[in-house]
Amino acid sequence: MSSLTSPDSSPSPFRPKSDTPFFFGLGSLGGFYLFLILALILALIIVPRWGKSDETKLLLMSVPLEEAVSHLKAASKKAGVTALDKEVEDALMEARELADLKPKGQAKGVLVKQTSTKARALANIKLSELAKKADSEKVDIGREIDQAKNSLLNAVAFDRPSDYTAVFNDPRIRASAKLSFVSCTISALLSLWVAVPIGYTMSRFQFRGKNLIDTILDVPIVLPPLVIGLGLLILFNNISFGTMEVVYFDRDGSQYIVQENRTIERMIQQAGTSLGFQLRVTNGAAGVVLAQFMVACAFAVRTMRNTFDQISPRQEEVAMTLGSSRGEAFWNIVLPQGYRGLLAAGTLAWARSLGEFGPILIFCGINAHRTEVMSSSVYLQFSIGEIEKAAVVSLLMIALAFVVLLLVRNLGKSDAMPNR
Amino acid sequence: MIQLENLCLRNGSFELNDLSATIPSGSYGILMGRTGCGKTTILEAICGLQPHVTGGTIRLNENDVALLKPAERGIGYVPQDSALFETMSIFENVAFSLRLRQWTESNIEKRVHELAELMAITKLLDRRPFGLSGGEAKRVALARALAASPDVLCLDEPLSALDEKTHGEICDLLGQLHREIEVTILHITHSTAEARRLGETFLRLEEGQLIEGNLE
Repeated sequence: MSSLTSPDSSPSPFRPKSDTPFFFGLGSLGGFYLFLILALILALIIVPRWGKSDETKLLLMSVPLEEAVSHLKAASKKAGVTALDKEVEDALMEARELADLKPKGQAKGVLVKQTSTKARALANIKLSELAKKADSEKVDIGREIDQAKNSLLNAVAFDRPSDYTAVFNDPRIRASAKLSFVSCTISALLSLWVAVPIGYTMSRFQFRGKNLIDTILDVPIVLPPLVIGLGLLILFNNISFGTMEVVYFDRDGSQYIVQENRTIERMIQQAGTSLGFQLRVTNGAAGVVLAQFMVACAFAVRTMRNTFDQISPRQEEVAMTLGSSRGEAFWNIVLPQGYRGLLAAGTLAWARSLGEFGPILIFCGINAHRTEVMSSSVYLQFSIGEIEKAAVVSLLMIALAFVVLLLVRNLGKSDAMPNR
Repeated sequence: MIQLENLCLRNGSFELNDLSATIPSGSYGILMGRTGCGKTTILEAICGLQPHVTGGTIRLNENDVALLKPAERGIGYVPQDSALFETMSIFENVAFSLRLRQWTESNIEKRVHELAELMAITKLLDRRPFGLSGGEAKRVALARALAASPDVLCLDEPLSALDEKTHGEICDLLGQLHREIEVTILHITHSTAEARRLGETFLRLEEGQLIEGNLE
């Protein structure tokens, strides 16, 4: 001990450094990301409430207002020789004034408000009364008045903030939400079904070519999802295994047979037909599940492998000395211990499937009520300028993901390890 | 009886060749040797967990078990870390081998309580392994290993990492078990005192050679 260097005799006593900068770093960096996530969600909530810019509103309102004018013109022609002539003419004049949409000194925002208030009054009061009178006077202008009313209310709708309920009740959006939920759940279950055996094999056994297989399993994680969609499309529709006869039906009901390439898609369709139902993968719901599964499964495999890596093989070995086969040891010992990993893999696969868009777009397209999932709806609404609707669908996706993640987390905490 | 004849083992680049030894039936065998010399590898080979047996025979009670699966060897194994089944209660841990053998629930209940009493773990039966002390975990692992009445009990450093008092208690328990239960035991240890207290047959693994003889 005497040969060790003696402590430096510094003038001030040693004081360890403060932990404050460390905790500040943790808090600020973590807080920054959390803030970004919340800001993003807040933006999606605010946009539909604020609606479009005044200029865009005026532009969009002009079309239905012009339509209302033309419907009232038609009504005016019909009512020309009746007692309602003057009233229809007044309504037409008013509609023309509204359709003018040129600011007369006032701000554009004020003009939008004035126009929407007047249009609502014209539709709900004046035209409603006119329709009743036309009915009682037996003047045949009911249809034109109704069309004008609808056009005016359509114009008013552009001034209203986006109606969440209206978007949620849109049958197309509901169908896409339903397809998203069902397809994500199926692809997550399929991913687990595949990921558990692969993850276990890769974790427990050593064999020739293991590194190569490991790399292949990671390919879907690295590849752009679009490429996976393209690969699926080519695999199902462009790779030919000879030729086959395909029956087509003409408009008059007659059928004719054409020799076509024997692709996987055609073979599946033929198998479906022979079983008595229509079966399709490309451009079908099955394709949506397949495209989601191809990407999500890679993440589930990686998670399950890490899960099994963390479970010591010792317990399995003891179980085998006690009389278990390897399969029994897996089901009774390993899998119950991998419960949380299983939940994590399933959640990851589900969440990844929900956000999948590229491969679905390429492999299945966006067909309402068939292949349109929520991510496709967001893209579609955005591409036609309906940014508010896109935001509402995005919020719906966030809510769905939030509920599922929360449920799965609580399930993971429940009864798996009561003593912990 | 545990009998090894010209046993050859390989695990990666590590090799053990021509290992021969006999632990008579009902005897308490002690296997000693330096850390990393391959004691656990031999124990795992006897249990059937070491897949790289490249030659020789392993006989347990006259039967060559070298090609049998672990489940078919009639062995009780207590690893160094006890390796209790974390998702099961202590009762389920002890009853595990009995359930596999499709014992009736009443017989399982009776057997588990007998063993629990012997090992002084009756109060723990409803708990899960998480939070058990080292000594409690060893007692549970022993009860689990003995549940199906194995012919051979393999203990991999069962008294390591225990405080002095618990070490003494488990040591006494092992001695008692050996006296009360007809079982051949192979016990790996580094402690000469432990070996002297419990052992009847002594094996030492030195420079790849298994040497039989007395403790000295």
